Formats: sequence, C-alpha cells, structure tokens
Amino acid sequence: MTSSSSKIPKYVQAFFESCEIDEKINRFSFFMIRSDGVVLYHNNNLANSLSKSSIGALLSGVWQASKALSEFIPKEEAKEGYRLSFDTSSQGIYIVPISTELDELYLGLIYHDEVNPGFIKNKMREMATTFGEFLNQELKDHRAAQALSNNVFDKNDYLFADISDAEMDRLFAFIKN
Amino acid sequence: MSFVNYVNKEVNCKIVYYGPGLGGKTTNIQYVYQKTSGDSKGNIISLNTENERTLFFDFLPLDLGEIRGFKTRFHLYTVPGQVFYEASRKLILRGVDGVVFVADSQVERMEANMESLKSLEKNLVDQGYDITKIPIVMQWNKRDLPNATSVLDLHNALNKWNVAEFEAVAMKGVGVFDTLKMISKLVLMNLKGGLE
Repeated sequence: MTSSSSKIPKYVQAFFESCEIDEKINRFSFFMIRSDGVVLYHNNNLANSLSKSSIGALLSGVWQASKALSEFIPKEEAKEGYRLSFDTSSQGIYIVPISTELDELYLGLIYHDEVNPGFIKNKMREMATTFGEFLNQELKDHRAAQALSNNVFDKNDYLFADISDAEMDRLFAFIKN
Repeated sequence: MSFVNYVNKEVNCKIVYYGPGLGGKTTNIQYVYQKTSGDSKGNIISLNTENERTLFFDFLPLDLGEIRGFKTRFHLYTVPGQVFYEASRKLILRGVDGVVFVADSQVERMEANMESLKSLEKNLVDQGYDITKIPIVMQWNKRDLPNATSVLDLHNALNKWNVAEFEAVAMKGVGVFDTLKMISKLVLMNLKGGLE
C-alpha cells in the first residue's frame, strides 16, 4: 500500500462532507467501494439486516464478474467506460466506476419506486466524475506536499512486526463455547 | 490487498478458503459463523447452485476487535471448488491477503487436492503474487473418516512450502479456529504500510 492510497478514506470523508448529494440519490442506498469490496462510504437506507460489508462484497462480485465477461466483447467497441445496471423500470442496482490514479473504486446505488431512473443514474455518473477529479487533485497536492516536506513514511515497514499468541487470543475472544 | 484505514484506525484483510470441491471450505466458514457472537459477525452470504454447491462465493465479514489501537476486520471468502468454476476462483483471489488451503483427507481425493493446489499456484502467479510470500495455511480436513490418508502423505504431496498445517474435522469444528487464528496472525504480521 502506498502512502497516497492510505489517504483515500480521508479524502472520501472530506468529499462527502463538502459536497451536497442530490436528494433523489440521498433517499436511496449508495455505497462507495473498492474493487475488493471494502466499503469506503455508505448511505445505507435498506430496510433489511444486510451489513454494509456484505453489500460491498456483492457489489464488487457482480462488477468483477461482469467485467470478466466484458472481455469477450471486441475492445474497439468499448469507446467509453462500462456501467452496470440491473433493473426494472422503477427499481434496481446501478454501479459506476470512478476513474482515479490509484485503486479502482466504484459507486453503487440500490434504488426503488423511482419514476425517473435515468435521472438518478446520470446523477451517479456526475458524482463519480466529480469525486474522481477531487481525488486526483487531492493526491496531486498530497504528493507535492510530501515532496516539499520529504515526510514519507516507509511503505515497506510492517504495521505489526510481531504479534504474540496472547494478542491473538484476545482478538478471538468472541468465540462462543 | 489489505486496506489500512488510518482515519478510522482499522485494517481490512481478505482471507480466501481454497481447495477441491466438497472439501469443506463452506463448512469452515459456516462453523465460524455459528460460533461467533452477534456483535463480531455480519451476515453470511452464500451464492449457491440449487443443490447447495458454491456457485460464486461464500462471504463472511468478521470484526475481530482491536490490536494496538487498530480495529481488525476480516473478510472470509470461499471459492467454488468444482473444476469448471476456474474463472470465478480467479476473480475471488483478487486482492487476497491470505489463503487457507482446505484439503480433503480422503485417499481418493488426493488427486483433486493436487489439481486444486496447482490451480491456486497458477491463479496467484497470474495475478502477480509470489506464492512464497503470501501467507498460506494448510488444513487437512475430514480427519475423522476411515479412508483418510496419513498426515505425512498429505504433507509430502501438498505442503511443499512447509507452511503451518492443521488437522481438522470442520463439520465438528475441530481445527477450524486454530486454522483461522494462524492465518489471521500471519496476515496481520504481513501488513505493510508503517505508522504515520
């Protein structure tokens, strides 16, 4: 992991604090996820018990599977990036990738009872573009600041160089007998 | 690829249970789910075929607790074991931090174990992993069956890297948490990023 990518959660938080999310999107559930399904941000209004981690894993899974299938489509036809839609005329799931210099990120929306799905999909694409631009600018600024201060922590350092068995036992204290 | 969130002080790691079909990968994470108290686990997600075989993956998020101020969150995945799901296995291995290879101890499954291990090696290499550097733990499952081959034979045939190995009877929970604890420890100790 680079020091820049470790900053992504901070930028995600800053982005969602500073931008006003369209109220039509805000009333549904949306998730910003990494390609491995880790959720970076969520607005989960789903009325069920599915955890954000589970939704992240599923969103990532369908995206990865669709992307693998898309490799069978002749490349020259893919002039613009893919989006993924699984829907009826009023409800569905929509995933749009975010173009960043670092990790692959996605925005996923789960919506229902929507009379104009095209509108909210467009808003999602706009949000993805805005966030991508925001993140790339922040990363550029971060690198410039690092170059000035020369304050880069060593990405090759181990986070936990040694972990004792007692520490592991404490981590697994949740096991029921 | 592990994910260290310095803002929330949490680490997210991905562990994949790999192995031949009907070897007990899903049983492992089902047992973990059963024996985990409510606060620490999320929902178990299983994308199965009609006859309860894994079609795409099983997924179980686990919040383990804190280690040196960092919350640790593990995402446990299983791959589908049947040979024709190779493309799915490849996808699920993306971003993996540690692998548990669940081998079926039955004599007649040795060839399937070897085939699956070969596929694991190939898929890891295809994705740019150095198999000698990624944390791997071996689990010899179904030790209670009368036709189980010896541990020494399993070791000689499958554990060429001499990684940690555990005997298990996943149906009864034997060895399940020992295996998980070991792979978790190896994964945490392999996390890079340093402290800011």
